[in-house]
Amino acid sequence: MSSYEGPYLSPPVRGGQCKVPLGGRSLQTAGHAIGGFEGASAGTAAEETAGDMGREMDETLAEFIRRTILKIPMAEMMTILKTWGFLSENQLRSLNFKQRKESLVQDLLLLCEENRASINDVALLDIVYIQVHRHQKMWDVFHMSKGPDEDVDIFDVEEFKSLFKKILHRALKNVTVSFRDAKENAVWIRIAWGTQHKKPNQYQPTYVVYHSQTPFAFASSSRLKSAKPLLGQALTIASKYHQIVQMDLRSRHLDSLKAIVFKQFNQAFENHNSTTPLQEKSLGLDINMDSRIIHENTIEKERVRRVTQETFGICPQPQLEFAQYKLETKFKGDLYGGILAEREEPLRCLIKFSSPHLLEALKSLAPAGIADAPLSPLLTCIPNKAMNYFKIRDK
Amino acid sequence: MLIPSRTETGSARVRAAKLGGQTMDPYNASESTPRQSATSGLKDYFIGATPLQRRLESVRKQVSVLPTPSRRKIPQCSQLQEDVDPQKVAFLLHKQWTLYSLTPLYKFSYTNLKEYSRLLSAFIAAEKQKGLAVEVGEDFNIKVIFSTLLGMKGTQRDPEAFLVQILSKSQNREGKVLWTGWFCCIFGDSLLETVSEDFTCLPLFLANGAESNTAIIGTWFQKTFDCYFSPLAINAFNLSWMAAMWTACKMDHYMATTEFFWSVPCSPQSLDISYAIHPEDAKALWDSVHKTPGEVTQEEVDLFMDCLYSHFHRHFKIHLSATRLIRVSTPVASAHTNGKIKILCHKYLIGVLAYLTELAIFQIE
Repeated sequence: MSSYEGPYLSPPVRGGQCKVPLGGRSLQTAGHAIGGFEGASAGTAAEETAGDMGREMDETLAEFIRRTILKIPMAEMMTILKTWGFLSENQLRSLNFKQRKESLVQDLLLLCEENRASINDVALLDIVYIQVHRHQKMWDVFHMSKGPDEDVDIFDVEEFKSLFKKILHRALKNVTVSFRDAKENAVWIRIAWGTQHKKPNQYQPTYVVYHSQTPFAFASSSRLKSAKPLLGQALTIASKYHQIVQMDLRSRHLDSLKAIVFKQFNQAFENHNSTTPLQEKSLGLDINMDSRIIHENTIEKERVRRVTQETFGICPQPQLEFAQYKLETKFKGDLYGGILAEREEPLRCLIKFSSPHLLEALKSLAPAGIADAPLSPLLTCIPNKAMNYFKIRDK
Repeated sequence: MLIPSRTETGSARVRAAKLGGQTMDPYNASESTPRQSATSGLKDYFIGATPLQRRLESVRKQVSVLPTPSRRKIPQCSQLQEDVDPQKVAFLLHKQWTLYSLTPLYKFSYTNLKEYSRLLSAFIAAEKQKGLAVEVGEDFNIKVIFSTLLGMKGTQRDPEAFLVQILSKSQNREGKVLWTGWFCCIFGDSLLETVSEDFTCLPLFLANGAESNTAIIGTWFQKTFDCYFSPLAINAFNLSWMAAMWTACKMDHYMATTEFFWSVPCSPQSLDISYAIHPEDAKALWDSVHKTPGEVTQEEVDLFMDCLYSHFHRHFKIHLSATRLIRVSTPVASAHTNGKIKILCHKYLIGVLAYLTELAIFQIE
C-alpha cells in the first residue's frame, strides 16, 4: 500500500492506512452496477503519442489493429464494432461475417486504413473490448482524499482529462492516453506506457475507471512497477485531491468492488417480518432420529439461520475471489497443557481463502455445520471494511 | 489420554482396495454422519470439553482410519544413504511424482536389464504405431533405458531400486528425457517376508511424465511380470502424519514454507483454504508437542494438528477438522491427496520413501 502527498514527483511513502472519505463529493445514489456495453458518448479525442505519426498506416499500427480485433470473439464482433462507432453504417454493412476471422480482420484493416485510423482510435476500441471483458483484469482500488480544510471543487471532466494527460506526458515522453466516458459519471482511461526513449507498449496497457462523483478509482493491476506511482499522482492532481491510498481490496469483479466501496451493498439487518425463509441447502443427510433430538437440532438450525442472515443480509453478496490474512498472533494453548506457553513470539501464518464466489461460500459455512454462527468478524467485515487483504496482530 | 485401538476398519479399506484397484478414501465415506452433530454438543470440543467428550471426539475422528502403527520413527539420515551419491539422485528432487503401488514382480532379474530395455523399446514403438499413443507430433525415435539406483533402500534386505527412462533419440548424443519411472522398496520387511524367491518386491512406483507413457509402461510390466499397478491415493489421516513427521525433521535452514490446503465441502460454491505457517514456528509448535525422543506417536500427530486447527478456529470460527485436508507441504516434501508428491530435501529422501513404501504395501495387502 502506498500513500502520496503533495505535488509532483515526490517519492512514494509506504504504509498509509485506508482513510475515511471526507464527504467532499457527494456520493450519488448509484443504481445497479454497470454491466454490458457502455452506450454513452463516444470517447473524446486524446493526444497521440509524442512522436511522429505519419499519414500512412505504418506496420506497428496495423499490427496493433490486427491484434486488437483478433481478441474479439466473432459472436461479439458486430456489437463491439458498432459501439466503437469508428466505422460507418455502410462500412459495417459491407462486412462479411461468414468468412474466416483472419479474412474479416484483413477487411477491417482496410476499412481502418480508409478512415485513417490513429492509435487513439484503436485504443478506444480496446477500451470498448475491456469494458465488455472486464473480468479478464484484476482490479485494484484506490481511495483519494482531501486535506481537512480544503474545499470541494466543481468537477470538470475536460479539465480532468487535460490535466491527467499533461502530467503523464511531462513525466514520460512516450505515453498513449485515451478516454471514454461512461454511465454514472465514470471515465474509462487507457494508458499505454513508454519511456523517454521507447515508444509506448500497446500490449500491456493499464486501464483506470474513475467515478468522478466519488473519491474512488479502479485500476487494472500492472506488472510495471513504475506505473503505479505515476498513475497515483496523475489521478490525484487531475481530480484535485490531496492524497491517494491503495486499498487492501482486489478482485476481478469490478462491479462487486464498486458495490462494496460505494456502500450499495446493504448489510443492515433487514426487517425480519419477512416470512420467506432462506432456502435450505440440501446436505443430503437423512435425519432419522429421536424426535427430541430433531427438535433440538431445529432450534439450533433456526438460530444459525437467523444469525447468518443478520450478519450477511438478504441481498446477494458482492463477488470476490479471495481473502488473505497475514497473522502474527500468539498461540493460545490453554486447553493443551501449556503448549508454547513460554514462547513470546507469535506464530507467523498466512491464510488464504479462495472461491469463485467467496462471500457466498462463507455464508454457507455455518448452516452447513462447518463453522460457528456468528462467523468471525475477520471474515464478515470484508464488504464493510472494503478489504480483502488483512494484517492481524495481537493487541 | 489413551488412544483407543482402531482395528475394525482395516478390513473395509482392504476390501475397497481390491475393487478394481481404485482406492476409496474412507475418510470421505464417513464424513456425512459425524458432521451433523458438530454444531450441537460436540462444538464445545475446543472450549473446555470434558475428557470423555474429547475421547469421543477422538474416536469419531479415527473411525475411518487404518490399523497403522501408532508410533513411527522420525526420519533420520540412514546409514545406507551415505552410499547414495547426492548428484546421482538430485534429479529425483524437486520433481512431481505420481505414486502407484505395485504387486511383486514375478521372475524379474537385475541381470536382464539390457534385454528389458530392448523389449520395452520395441513394445512402445509398436504401441505408438498402432495409434494408441495420444502424443501429438512425437516421433518414434525413442530409447528406453533401465538402470539401477544404488543405495535407495532402507535395509540390506530391500531389493535394489531401479529406474526406467524414456529418452528421445536425436542428432545430439544426449537425448531429452521424456518420461521417468522408478521402482523402490524402503524398509519393506513386512512384504518381503511373505513372498517366495521368484518374486521381486518393489512396491513403490513413482512416475514423472506423460500419462500415456505411464499407461504403456504399466501395461508392459503387467504383462511381462504378472504384476499389478494401482494409483496410490493419500488420505487426510496419512497427510497429517506426513506433515507431523516432516516437521519433526531437523533442518539447518528452511528453503520452503510449511503449508496446508483444505477443500471445504460447501455448496453451491467451492471454497479452498490455504494455511501457511513459518517453518520455524511449525517446528517450535512441534517441539512443544513432542514428548518421545526419536519417535512420532499418534497422540502427538493429533495434538499437533489440533493445535493448528485451534489456532485457526480462534481467528475464524471455522472447524478445519470438518473439512477435507488435500495437500501438505513442508520444507522436506509435499504430498497431495491424489497421490502426487515432491521431495525437496536430499537428507530425508529415504525417510519420505519409507513412509510411502509403507502406504504402498498396505494397499497391496
